[in-house]
Amino acid sequence: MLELKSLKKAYHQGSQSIEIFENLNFHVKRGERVAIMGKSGSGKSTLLSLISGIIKPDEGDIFLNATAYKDLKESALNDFRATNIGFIFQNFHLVSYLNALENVMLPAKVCKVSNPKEKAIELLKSVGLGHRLDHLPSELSGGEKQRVAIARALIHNPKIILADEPSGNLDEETGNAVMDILFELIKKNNTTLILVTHSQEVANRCEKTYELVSGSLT
Amino acid sequence: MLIVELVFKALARSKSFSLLFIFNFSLAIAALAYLQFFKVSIDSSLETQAKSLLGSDLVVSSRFPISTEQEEDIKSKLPEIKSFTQGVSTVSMIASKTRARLMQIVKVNEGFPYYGGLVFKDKSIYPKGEGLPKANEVWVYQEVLDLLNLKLGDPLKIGKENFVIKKVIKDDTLKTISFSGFMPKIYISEEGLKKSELLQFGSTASYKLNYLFKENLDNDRLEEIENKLKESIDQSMRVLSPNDGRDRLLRVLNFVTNFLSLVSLVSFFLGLVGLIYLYSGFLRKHQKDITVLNDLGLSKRNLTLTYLLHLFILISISSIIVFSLIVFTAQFIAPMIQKLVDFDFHFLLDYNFFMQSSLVLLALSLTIGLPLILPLLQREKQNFFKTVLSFIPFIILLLLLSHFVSPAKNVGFFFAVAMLILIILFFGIGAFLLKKFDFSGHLENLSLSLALKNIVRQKKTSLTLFTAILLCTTLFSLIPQIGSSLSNALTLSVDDRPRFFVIDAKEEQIKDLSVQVSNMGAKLENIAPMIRGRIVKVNDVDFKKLSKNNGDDKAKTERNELSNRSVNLSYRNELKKSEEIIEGRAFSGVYDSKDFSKPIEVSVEKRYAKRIGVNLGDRLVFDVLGLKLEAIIVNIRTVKWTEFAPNFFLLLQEGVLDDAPKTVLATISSGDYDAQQMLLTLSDLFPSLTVVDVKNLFESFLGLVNDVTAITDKMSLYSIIIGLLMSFIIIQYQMNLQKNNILRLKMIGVKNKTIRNSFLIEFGLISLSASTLGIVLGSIGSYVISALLFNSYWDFRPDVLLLYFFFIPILTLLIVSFFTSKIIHQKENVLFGE
Repeated sequence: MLELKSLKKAYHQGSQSIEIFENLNFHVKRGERVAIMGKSGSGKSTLLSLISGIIKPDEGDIFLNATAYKDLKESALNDFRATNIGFIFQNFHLVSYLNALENVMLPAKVCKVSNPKEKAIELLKSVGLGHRLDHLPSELSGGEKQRVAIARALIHNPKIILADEPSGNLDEETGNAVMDILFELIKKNNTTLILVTHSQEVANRCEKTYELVSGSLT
Repeated sequence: MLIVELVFKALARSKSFSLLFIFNFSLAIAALAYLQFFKVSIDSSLETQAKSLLGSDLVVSSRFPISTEQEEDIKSKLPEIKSFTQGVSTVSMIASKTRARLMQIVKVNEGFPYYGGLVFKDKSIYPKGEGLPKANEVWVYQEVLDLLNLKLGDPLKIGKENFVIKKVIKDDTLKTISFSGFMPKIYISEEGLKKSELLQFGSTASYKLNYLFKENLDNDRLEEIENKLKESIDQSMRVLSPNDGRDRLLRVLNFVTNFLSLVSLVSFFLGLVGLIYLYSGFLRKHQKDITVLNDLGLSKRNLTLTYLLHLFILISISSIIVFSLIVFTAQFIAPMIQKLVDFDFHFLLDYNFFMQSSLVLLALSLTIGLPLILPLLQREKQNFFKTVLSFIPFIILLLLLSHFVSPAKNVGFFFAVAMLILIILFFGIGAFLLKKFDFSGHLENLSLSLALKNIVRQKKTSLTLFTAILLCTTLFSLIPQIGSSLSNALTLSVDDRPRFFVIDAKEEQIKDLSVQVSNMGAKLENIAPMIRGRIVKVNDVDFKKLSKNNGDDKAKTERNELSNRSVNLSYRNELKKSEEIIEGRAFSGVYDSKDFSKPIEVSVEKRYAKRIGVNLGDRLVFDVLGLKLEAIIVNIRTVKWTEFAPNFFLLLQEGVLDDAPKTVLATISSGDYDAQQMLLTLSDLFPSLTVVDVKNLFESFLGLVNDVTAITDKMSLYSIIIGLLMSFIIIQYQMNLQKNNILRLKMIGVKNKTIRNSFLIEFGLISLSASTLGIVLGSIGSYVISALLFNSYWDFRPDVLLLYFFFIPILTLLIVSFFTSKIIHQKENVLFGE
């Protein structure tokens, strides 16, 4: 399903070069839920950026559903990402001037999913926000925002969800409730999940947990 | 010390922000500061030169010779007199071999003027230097030589006598106080004037008594003496003190600067809106720093002081740049303004002006800075109502500033209040409409959908940008259209207008004059008798008392002036093409002097009726050469004065004044004849006749109107540049706010093109709708004003309107394009790991 082969990635600051990954190999099966843990600066965000195709590796290949990223041109890669990957962020990142319904509808519009409005309403109802459709992000609580973000990530049936600390900005109770919803929906849709977290409790919900240390997943 | 350190670090590390701020604020205050600076210079020069403008401490003038008894009476009411002269001036057609012109002939009195004087081209001066001209000599303005194609030493015929041009006048301090100031002057000796035989019955002449008092009295004290004297002497005489000369010039100056003040106020307002957005954006960018500094122990008071000082320094740098530019460029700009207001004022560096400006700028820093800084320190979102309340001191400061910068009383204040009401109105209606237009879900076209949602849901920014562009385009499509309408009113149907006015003709001359004019291929038309009189009573109440008691201060002053003045009366029964009765009825026919049962009927021009405060059916008593005539107002009529056909404020029915001593006013038609030859022939055959070249007169007026319109047009363009700079700042602010939304949209997979188009549609729609509405409102406004002021000579200016229609939206789109490209190419991976 997702395969990272011999990835090499370094950042350059002036004459200095900071090696993030030297030879990273990683494989995730369809429907698998994988947690990635690691200290700050270990390269978790870089890994998510590489998987999402926003940045390119210096060397190595990334395959999603047998499609090699390097074979795609930038615009094709963007379309591929929009169709196949859903995102959930620590800071929710809802579009501030769109209400809950419109935020959820947006990926469906981009991917030309049929009946986007009905599907968005259905999803929002399933995350318990059927009564908050017309509310702007500024009118929602943290937990509600993250539930909208989950609905948004799932509406176009992506192959894989990349979740970056989804409960990091929520209190424990709200975080657990949001995680319950996320895992339930992912299971229902048989979607692959790659979840970056600092919380062992959240990681324990996944089938596999990796730790990113010195550019390697162990 | 820490505060100062923080301020300088903020200045040094936000160079592009600081430069944009200084550029924006410098532009915002430049026009206003320039105007104020020149006004202060001119005001102050006028104050010190007021006595020179009049030439004496007090002047009493009359259109009739002043008798010895009157002189004695006046003398008894004045303080002790040091010196006294009797002046006289008249107007006459003066001809050389090739040209003829109407000019003012002034008798030179020994020792007069007591203040100021004449400076000749040969650098000699009068009265402190040069002696009086000899009986056969005259001193003339350079214009006399230019207009008559003469040179120094040439002979010049005045009335029945030939004179030699002895001196050419370079400067004349009495230039502006003259009652016929637009005419070039010729100074002549007393004996020379007698020889010319210009002063006969019916001639337009002004007799003056010039006084110099023993005690050196200030201008205000002299004005008090003037007012007292006015009350107690014959009302046909006018009294002038030095302040009158100053006020007269101030009126000309105000005519020029009033319009400019309003336009520069608009620039200032726009610049301030830009400043608020700019500084608000800066604070938002540094919000985290503020929180951290506060957490580290820097008190809220010190943090407030830090950012207030930062703002004040930026404002001060902008002001120093503008003031330095004013000082540097004043020497180049001053001569242009001197020419425009026709007054050689002294260029003055008034430190009070700089002190006052600094205080205003400090107040601006406080009233803008505090409402922006304090909510950030409170760390809580302020609601809209609280935000508006916190800006009230700033709004009050703006209203006060508007009041003080505009020369005409209350004009600036009312203008600012009107702008404020319009802004509140636009915001109120706009917010309501935007709420109505909001919809849930997405349209088929995602760019359009995102654009509409941004417009509807970012109300504050959308409405600020919309209102600013709307006010700009409204005002700037209004100004040039009014300017052209006025020019149009002056230039339309030129061929139908008379070419010459004939003034002071005697009844017995009319037949010969008509034949002569006809022989030269023109027609003597609009022959109207003119009798001088005065209104003494309105509805049995003394007119002077009435004018003192009724109406507001302005109306009282105006009526008081009118009640002192004599008026020109005429009579005829038919209406002219340029007249229309708007109230009442036409005259019932010729007045029958034997039938006392019917009152005399009078027709009053609409605006004059308003000025003297009379209505249809009111009874007026006129004093015509001592004879009291009672008349009833049977109609109020409008007159198209712009057609330049001679007319009168007060018209009596025929049969009332037919036998009264009169002069005749007439016109000579335009046509295919030699105008110079006409003037030469008439001044030769009828030396006492006054012939005014209407074409020249209205061309010089048109020149002034065009000058003011041109300056205002340029100022409008300047304001548009500030308006666009403000749009640039607002768009930049809005795009920075949208930065994360753009990255979020990109992350979801929305294409760059769709995102860019959504912003282009958003700002394009705002800009296009605002400029279109502005153009429509400006055009309607200019049409209404033209209809009210210039009798519908409305000049639609599609060239200007099309320019705004395309220029403003296109420039807005370019600005948006620039900022979107800057943001849109950022990688969206910054959203990870925040």
